[in-house]
Amino acid sequence: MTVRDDGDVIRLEGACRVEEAEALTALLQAGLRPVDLALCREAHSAVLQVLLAFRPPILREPGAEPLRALLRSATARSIAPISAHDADVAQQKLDKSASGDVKTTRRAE
Amino acid sequence: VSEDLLDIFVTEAGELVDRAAQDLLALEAAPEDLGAQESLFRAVHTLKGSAGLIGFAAMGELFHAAEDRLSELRSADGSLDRALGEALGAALGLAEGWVAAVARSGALPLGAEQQAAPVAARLRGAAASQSAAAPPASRTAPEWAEPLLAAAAPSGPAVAIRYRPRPDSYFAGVDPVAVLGAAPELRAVSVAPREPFGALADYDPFTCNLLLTALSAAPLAEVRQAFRFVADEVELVEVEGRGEPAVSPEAAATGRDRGTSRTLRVESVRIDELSGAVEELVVAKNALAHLAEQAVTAADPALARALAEFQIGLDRRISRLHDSVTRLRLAPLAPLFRRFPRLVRETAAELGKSAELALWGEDVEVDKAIVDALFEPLLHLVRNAIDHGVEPPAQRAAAGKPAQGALRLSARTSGERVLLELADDGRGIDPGRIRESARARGMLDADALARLSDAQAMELIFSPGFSTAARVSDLSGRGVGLDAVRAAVLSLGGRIEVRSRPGEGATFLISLPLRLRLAQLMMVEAAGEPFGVPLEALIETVRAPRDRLTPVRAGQAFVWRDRPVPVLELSQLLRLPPARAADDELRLMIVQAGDEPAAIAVDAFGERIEAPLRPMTRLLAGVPGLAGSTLLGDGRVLMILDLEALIG
Repeated sequence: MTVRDDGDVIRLEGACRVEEAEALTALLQAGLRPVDLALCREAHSAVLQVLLAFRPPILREPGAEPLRALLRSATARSIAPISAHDADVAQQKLDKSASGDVKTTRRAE
Repeated sequence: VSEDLLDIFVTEAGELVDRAAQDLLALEAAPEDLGAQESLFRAVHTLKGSAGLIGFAAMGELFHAAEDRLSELRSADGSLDRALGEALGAALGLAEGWVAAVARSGALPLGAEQQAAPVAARLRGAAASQSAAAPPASRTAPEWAEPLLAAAAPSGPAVAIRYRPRPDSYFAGVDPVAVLGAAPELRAVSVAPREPFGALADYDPFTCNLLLTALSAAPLAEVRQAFRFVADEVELVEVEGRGEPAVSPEAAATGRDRGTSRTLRVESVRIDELSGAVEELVVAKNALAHLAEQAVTAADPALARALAEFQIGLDRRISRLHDSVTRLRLAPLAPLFRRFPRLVRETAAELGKSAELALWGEDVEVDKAIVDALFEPLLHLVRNAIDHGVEPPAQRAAAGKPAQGALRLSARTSGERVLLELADDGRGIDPGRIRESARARGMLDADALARLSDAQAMELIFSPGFSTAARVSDLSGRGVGLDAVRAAVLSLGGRIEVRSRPGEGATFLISLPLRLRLAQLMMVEAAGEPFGVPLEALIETVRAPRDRLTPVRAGQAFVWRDRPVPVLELSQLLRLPPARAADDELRLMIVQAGDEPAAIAVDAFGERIEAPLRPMTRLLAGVPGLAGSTLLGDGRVLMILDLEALIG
């Protein structure tokens, strides 16, 4: 399950495959909500295209290039240069925030 | 000719033929690719030389003719035309067969000269195309590339990419973002809808509506190579940042040579010896674990503890060693895959059809033994797809398809497995025809056939003795059916399935282990025999008093986490006699059976071990429910169960 409905937020995690475009479409059609991509490693074009069409607020960007740069251009309509350094920094932040997330969820349980 | 010289010839010529075939493929996509032309020329030149050196005159003359044409091409700055490409392909095809023959018998096959003559004549007839290279691309950037240049500000020459994937790309299995992502040295990317999306309530997630633009700092030829399968959807324009000339083809070629010299050629037999030794070490390590346990009761506690600690350290190091050795055995699928595009074209032509094969994921690496064993089954599937799948051009035109059939062979890894797919866009598999055929052959009666779902009916094509071909063709009707393909895949520890929609083509999916790996196993006992169960198959193990079983109709159920799960006896699943009278305690393995959990009762739980999993070979490969075997520390063979197949 890589497209997860978390109520107020839709989370994309891991590698999102073509068939998940349909699930994401249904969720966004049911109510436009922020989408969290922090843990999204790869997204099929069809999934990216849903984000391009619905333009939901992006809560956290993915760490992986060129997905991140594409997503920026899709949502902000601006063109982002790719820099390996940026991607590393983003990945580190991502790792930290990901481990932080796990803790919060555990506490919530 | 000495043995040594022959060995060197076989290895080198094999590699050169591979490389030349690869360059030819690149040139078909981009006929004026100077790097590929240069590389092809060198390969052909070396093939000519080594054939001459060893006294294989027919081969030497053939590649002499090829070299002449390529040399003309080089001096004329021309591009490779179709006639020359096909003649070169034919020459490489012959050479591939000859090299195999030399490997077997030490000489070219009888009749090699007669084989070579017509191909050499074709080569001599195919004068190199005199058309000069395409005029140098305009260095002024098109309007659409301006924002990219502004964002990335490249310092040297760059290639602006505009990619408009077709609306049906997703159905065709193309992931445009992944295609773009695979392009070398991207400096900037952007995405926009090709057309406005319209009402979002009617949004169709499976119609591709993207316009991708990007800037790459790689040479044009390399960028073109990345988009070779979608060439007609991509526009590439060379643009200039500042100064610096593009890398010359010579420099690119030397770079390539430098790359190859970093590898060390080792005979695969030696690697096999090494990995055999490491596997024995793993077995010995397990025996040590056993001794360490005994020491706890029999020896001085301090000694036992020291032994246990030592054993854990050894364990970790041996696992690392095993890992490195198995990685040594990994080889890319590329040389295997690249044999197919030409084969597809030729096979299709023989049948009066037209088909092209696209390759994906050639750089995926799997165990060399698996690469070697895949050629036959893939060859059969490819021939099958062209023979039975792809329709004749007239029929395709009537169905509104392009005259040329499209095949796609792809590989990707998924965890510790590699997934291969062979897809065609032909007539697909008609479950109705399969049922008819199965009834005609008396494989199943009408009732049983009617009960099968379409998907189950389609699985019948893998049964022995099944063939729907009305006539036996030269190609795939050699008495070898898809059952042989399935047997080959099973013997590699893999699985095969087929998906198809009538009229839209068929896809064969093969899932294989990436390597022979260390499996985490739990030992269990049933019918007095030990068996191994892969830990990943277990959800939980449970011990409970027998009176917690509830009879449900013909079977029994056990309440696990507030829900009833069916209980199956392992000895019954394996059709073995129960070993002893049931005692009062139940020992259950909770496993996933499809969507629901199930419980499998065993006589005893044993220790957990780590052991190399060998896929079943030969006779046992067809036995359902067995995933493989392994050797225990005491020398006994342990059968490893495939629980999913056993209860499925």
